[in-house]
Amino acid sequence: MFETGIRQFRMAMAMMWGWHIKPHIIEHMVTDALKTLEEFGTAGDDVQQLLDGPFTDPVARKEYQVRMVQHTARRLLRRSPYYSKLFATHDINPEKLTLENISRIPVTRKEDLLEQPQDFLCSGVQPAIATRTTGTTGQPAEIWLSKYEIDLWPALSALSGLLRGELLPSDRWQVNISSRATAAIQINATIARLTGIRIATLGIIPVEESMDSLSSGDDRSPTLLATYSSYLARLVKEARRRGLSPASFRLRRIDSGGEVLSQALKRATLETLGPALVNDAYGMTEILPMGARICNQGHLHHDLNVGFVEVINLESGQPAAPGELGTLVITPYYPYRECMPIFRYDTRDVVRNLPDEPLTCDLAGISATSNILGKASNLLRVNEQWVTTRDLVEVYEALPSQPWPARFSARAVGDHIEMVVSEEALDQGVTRAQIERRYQEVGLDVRIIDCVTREQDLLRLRPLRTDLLETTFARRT
Amino acid sequence: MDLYQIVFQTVVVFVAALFAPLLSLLYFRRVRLERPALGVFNTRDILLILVFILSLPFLYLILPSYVLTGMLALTFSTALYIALHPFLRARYLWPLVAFLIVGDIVVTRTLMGTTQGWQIYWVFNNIIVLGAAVGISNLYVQGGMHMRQVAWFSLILACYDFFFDIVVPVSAHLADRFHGQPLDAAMGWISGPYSSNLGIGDILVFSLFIISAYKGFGRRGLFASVGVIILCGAILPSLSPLVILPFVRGGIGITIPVQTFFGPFAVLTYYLLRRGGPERSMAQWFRAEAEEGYEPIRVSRRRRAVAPAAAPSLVKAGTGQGD
Repeated sequence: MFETGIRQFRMAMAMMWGWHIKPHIIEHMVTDALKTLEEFGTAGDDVQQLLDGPFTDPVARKEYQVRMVQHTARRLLRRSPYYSKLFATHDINPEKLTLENISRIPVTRKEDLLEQPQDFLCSGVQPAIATRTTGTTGQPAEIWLSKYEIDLWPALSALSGLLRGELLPSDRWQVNISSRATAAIQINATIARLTGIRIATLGIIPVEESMDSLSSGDDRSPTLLATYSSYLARLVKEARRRGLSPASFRLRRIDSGGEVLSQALKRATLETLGPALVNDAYGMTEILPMGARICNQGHLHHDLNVGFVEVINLESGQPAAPGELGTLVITPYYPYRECMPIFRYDTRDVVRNLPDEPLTCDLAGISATSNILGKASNLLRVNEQWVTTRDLVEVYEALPSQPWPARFSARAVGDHIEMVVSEEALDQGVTRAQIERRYQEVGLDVRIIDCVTREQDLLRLRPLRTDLLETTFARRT
Repeated sequence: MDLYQIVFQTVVVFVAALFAPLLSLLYFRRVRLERPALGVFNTRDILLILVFILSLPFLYLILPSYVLTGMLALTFSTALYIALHPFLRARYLWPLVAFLIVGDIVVTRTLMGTTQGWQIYWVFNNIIVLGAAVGISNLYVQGGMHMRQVAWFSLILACYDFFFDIVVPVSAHLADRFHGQPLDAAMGWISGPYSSNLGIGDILVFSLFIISAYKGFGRRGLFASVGVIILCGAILPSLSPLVILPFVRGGIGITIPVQTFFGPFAVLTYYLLRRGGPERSMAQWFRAEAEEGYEPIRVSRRRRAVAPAAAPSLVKAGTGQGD
């Protein structure tokens, strides 16, 4: 207990002042957490403070954010060729940075990462492993990580997962994400090693094989599943095709991300696969280890320990007003990003700023935005109003034909939206007119101009991560 | 050796050896102390306490009186805070602690020399030591200390007691050093020419032993631990001066190495209990208590101004919206 106290103190000091965190300290704390859970069944009374820091207090939170933004900028000025040049060009003095004037620094875009990746590598840090974005929104970006980062992130994840009850040592974890997402795979495998959880990293394999594993029906069946929303949709459909019910599974939690998860699909998942929770998580390769999660009222709450979050107006690039749409701009702090850090990275993920009034959700102490509404590049402008991917997906996936995952393409034409849908949308006797009426009911003037049937034509519709299929020979006859 | 002294001593030790542990047990069943987010009491913690315990007496012997009193005041204030925190708000708790500590010091400075003065002194002292033993024993066991650890802790103290009572008689000097000093680390009583007390170390070990035995093995553990404490912690040590002369110090008083009698039997009791099944963890004990319908009457928890807000887990890294 005494040693654990010392470790907690060292971790708290490192977090508060931005000191280099020794990953082995966090790994020891994971062991402490396992022993605590074994002895007491739950973590102790101060667990929330350990997880969240003192950031429920707005004054303490702001002080911390200013300190960490300056600290991170100071290091980038010294170590990052890209940012030292950028700061010099715009006459940025890290000592004078505040949350109010940070918008003087231009945002970093994915194009910058693609054009000059070497300039983002910090001096004095040895890159160890490269991870690529999956490329569903264009050319994949390559992010290099140091050994420090690939040791630290899973240790922090394992600790928070255990203390929040998201992970139990008795869990079995099935991971259906792209095998090219090496950082995520590496993190998940290390989390499993640290916590003693059994993990099966299957990748985006044929859905029948994943379903065989999920529904094996014995105590080896997974209790946790991590996957993309579109792959989850296919799993739900496969389970229904086989006539499976919640009794066929042992799942207690599903972490779904990477794409918009509609309410209809979430409900169907709960009804069919039967987990207690379907968690619509937010994360992104470029901004790792930043993340966010959804509260009981559907807000997206960001991890303020690890980075600074802004929402900027879609057009002006200035801070978005309450209730306004904007894109998430994220700055992971040092010491969480060391090798190829980014500062004010524009994720192009669109959210709506919440109204400027106190939150009443279960995560009310921490600032939030709306859930992710889609990518900025997929926004449609109709009648002076923005239409997001989520607006379209929510209606589409709630159709009686259950066309999961939502495969369509949409474009704004004058005062309406033209959609091409997949043949699945018209199953169960659903007509084009009915679909258009559904959209009209939510105030969207949508016209279905075509229905795609052939497989190669389906790929012309919006890209889905479930299409990053990794073939196997398991079902070869 | 005066037979009345033996009888008086046995009664005092018997009461001190059982009352504090049984009160600690009652507290254990009905009060939940706040525990840190992470951490279980482990062998390294015991080693740390042992180093502290083994070195402290020597400090006591060499430290000036006012420094010693200051250290004891700090130690007892902390222990009393731990014990009383679940029952009293700070505005009542700290004045009460101050009253007990200052009262003990004032009585020691002003009323000693008469039997009544000594008795008032022991009343203050007994309350303070009782509260400290209850608080600390619960802190340790509710923090995850197991009976196995308590038993071995007691055995190590048995060797220590034996060595410093028989081989190098430091304990006798220590008893003399504390005698009549403010905040004597013992529970005791005086009646006419007879005086007896039991050190806080022994009381703490007995309290730990009873609580951990009950937690680990249920009623079987409780009965076994009470029996061993009565026999090996109270009766045998009290009667020992009748047969063991080295404890008698020329009629001016006696110091008995209680743990020397108790330690070996504590270990033996633990291993006998283990034969009936493994020791329960706190989680198993919580479940058993819940099944019996027991709920804590007091739960120690810090008040927080704002509802805690959980930041997101990092477990989902790489499955986010972005690309």
